[in-house]
Amino acid sequence: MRRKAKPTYGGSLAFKIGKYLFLIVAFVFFAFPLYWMVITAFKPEQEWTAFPPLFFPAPPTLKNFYEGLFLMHGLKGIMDSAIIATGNMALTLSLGMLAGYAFSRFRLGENLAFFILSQRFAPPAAFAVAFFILFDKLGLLDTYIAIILAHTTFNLPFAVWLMKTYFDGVPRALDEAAMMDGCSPLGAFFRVVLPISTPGVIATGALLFMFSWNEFLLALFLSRTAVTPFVVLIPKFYGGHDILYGVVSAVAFLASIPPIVIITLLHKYLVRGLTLGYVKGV
Amino acid sequence: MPRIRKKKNYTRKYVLILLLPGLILLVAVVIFPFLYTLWLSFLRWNLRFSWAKPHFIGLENYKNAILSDPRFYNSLEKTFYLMAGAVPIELLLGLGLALLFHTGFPGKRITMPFFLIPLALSGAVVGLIWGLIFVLTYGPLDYIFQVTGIWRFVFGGRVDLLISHPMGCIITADIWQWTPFFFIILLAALSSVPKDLMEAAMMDGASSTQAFRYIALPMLKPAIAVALIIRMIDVFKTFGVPFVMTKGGPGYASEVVSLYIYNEALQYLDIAYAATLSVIVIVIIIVFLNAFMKAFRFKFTGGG
Repeated sequence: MRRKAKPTYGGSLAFKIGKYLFLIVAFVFFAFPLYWMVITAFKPEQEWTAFPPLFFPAPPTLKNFYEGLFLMHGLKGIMDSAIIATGNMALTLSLGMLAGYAFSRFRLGENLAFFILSQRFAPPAAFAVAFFILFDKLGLLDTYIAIILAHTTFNLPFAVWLMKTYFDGVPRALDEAAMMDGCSPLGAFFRVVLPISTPGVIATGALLFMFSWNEFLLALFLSRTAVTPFVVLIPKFYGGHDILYGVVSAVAFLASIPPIVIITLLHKYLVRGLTLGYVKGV
Repeated sequence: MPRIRKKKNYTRKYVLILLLPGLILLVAVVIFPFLYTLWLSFLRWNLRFSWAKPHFIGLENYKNAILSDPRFYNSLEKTFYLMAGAVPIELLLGLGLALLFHTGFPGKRITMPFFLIPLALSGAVVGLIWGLIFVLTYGPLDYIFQVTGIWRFVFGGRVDLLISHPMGCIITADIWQWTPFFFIILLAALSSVPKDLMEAAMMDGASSTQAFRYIALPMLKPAIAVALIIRMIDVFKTFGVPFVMTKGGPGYASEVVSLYIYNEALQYLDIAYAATLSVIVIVIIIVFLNAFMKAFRFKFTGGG
């Protein structure tokens, strides 16, 4: 019976041509802009503004990376982003794990769940102004702590929800067995549930890292000169009269590598988080 | 009944231990700043005039924003323009890609990441990337349009798109950045549509289009609704792309609402007014969300 022709979606030649044409156009649309940034990063200075533009750098150079990282403080920017994203991930993941477990194992009412989720919808601009004044009063403006705490507004609900959906997949019988053997609920969580959830914890952590790494508006409000995450450097380089096209591309390209790696490896986990668990599958 | 009560307390204690740290942080970084924003919106407080102490003016900021601020209405108009121009295309393009990847084709695994990467990039980087594409003379688009004659036949001559069509540029970048969002969600949703059901329908003589229309599409509806809701709300947060690519210009031609709030706060330092604007935007989002959920008969039920 396996032999029976597998029904395919649209078999005609015209349909097939259309399908591949769409695919090629879509691929060029999505891949080319990225390609352009990457080759701009490798172009020597005279080619940044050459006409007609070169579709391949000849010869490719690493000078832009050197200048971007060491002369234009790109390295400091990337390090600052790494500190902020790591700090925020550690904070939101550890607290989100605990709360996510509570949501998964105890009935807590829909209102609380909605309350946690509703943060996903609040525009960051609404918090940015308040954070700006409050952190200024506390003398925390332009510090890592300010941005780490500010990023908690969107990352903590995300962490809670992603960890909850993950723990939902861990059979309750496991915690119950552990508690029979004398563990407290917390002990069951730390000794049994958490160890077998390691992949989910790592995936969640990576996504939290990525969101904090990429966040722009709050970083712009709360940083000045002491702390300069890379996202804040990009508009500084890309503006004014003499734009250093190659240098800004080099820094942006380097800073995009971590999120690109994360999404390539972890996009299946991302679906759950993006839709707050409403779309299942995969 | 002492045993049951004991068990209840026991549970409550652990729920508190688990939830309390997160809740305290949430109150500190979400509830308190939000209430503070609300309080700021009732003040007159501009940091440019450092001698002027903040003082209470009631609803005057709201009156100004609603009755006499064309720039605010302009920013809302641009935001809705972005929503109407980008989101439907993102949905269709994402659905098309999801169907293609679901049915499969040679090279699927290798090309997949390229359709996802834009989603992983910061808005600032996306703005930069499309700025590099659109920039006149040095950018590849200008050259391609010259060679293919698109300038002459479509635009009637060479123009700087970032100046003549700033919203079009932002919409293009937005489509690039967020189509992967629909793609990845709909691909996941498609994989939960039972294959047998589609195959059975086609055995019974339904065409593949009919099978999609009557079996897959109804099952995709919840996923489409969720993705649309999230994206339409996210449009109000759009900031990085316009900030880097057009700075809201020329003039205010591409000043979306987040950008206007940013300008009021950090350029004009009118903190109280910026707070007022963000409160109004939150109200708009809530109204919008309710209307949309009613239209889709969608309920928040906890998910998971």
